[in-house]
Amino acid sequence: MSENEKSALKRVLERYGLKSVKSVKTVEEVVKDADLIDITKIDDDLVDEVGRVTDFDNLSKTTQKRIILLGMTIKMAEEGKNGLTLEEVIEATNEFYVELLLEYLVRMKILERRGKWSWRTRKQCEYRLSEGGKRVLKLMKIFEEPGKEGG
Amino acid sequence: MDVIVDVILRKETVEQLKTKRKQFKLLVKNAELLASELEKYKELFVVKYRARDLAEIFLTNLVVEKIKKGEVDGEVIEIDLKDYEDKINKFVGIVVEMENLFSES
Repeated sequence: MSENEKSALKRVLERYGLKSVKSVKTVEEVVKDADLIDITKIDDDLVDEVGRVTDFDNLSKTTQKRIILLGMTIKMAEEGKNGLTLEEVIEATNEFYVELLLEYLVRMKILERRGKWSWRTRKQCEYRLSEGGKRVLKLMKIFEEPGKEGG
Repeated sequence: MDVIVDVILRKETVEQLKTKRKQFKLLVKNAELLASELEKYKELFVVKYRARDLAEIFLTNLVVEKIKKGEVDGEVIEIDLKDYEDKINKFVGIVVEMENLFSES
């Protein structure tokens, strides 16, 4: 992990208050943390709450943070493969679109609760997150491109 | 159709942009260009506030880009969406992709 990635990871962890900065040395340590990476466990914690809500805003802040970390951790695990890089994920968390992506995650949970969709495998979840994340980045880049207004 | 929209930047965004002002009045000219594009997909946007939410995201990002370029010097910002038709189409297109990605099927 590069120094940039280390400091970026620390910033994010600080922002969401999930781990002390000093205790995290590598991405791998975060990935290994069962609380953050074990989808089944997070499902158990979330399912009742998500089942009651109709939109993301109604989730508790703690739950929102956990979902954020779930998505981010999966991306971290995929780093260097087909997923987003850590830097890209962190960049996305600084922008508005991360909520868009998170809302889709919650929607999946609601559909699951209603028996209309199943997480089935971790791969399926990862695929949607990964593809969703890529589109989030595409959205971000739209505004960076010069348009008519820019001459 | 011209509309006036209040844009409030998040704390993190204000810090990133190193700007002191966090609230702006946005005069949006030809607002129907964005509204009509979102309206096309209203059946797809199953969440009731989705279209409004997306419009807010789009407009807020235009403001952020203008701030980054140093084009904002007061509380009121004027934007003509005729200049952003290409961005509107791309934006809505990608959102539609995402809606489909996370749909039931």
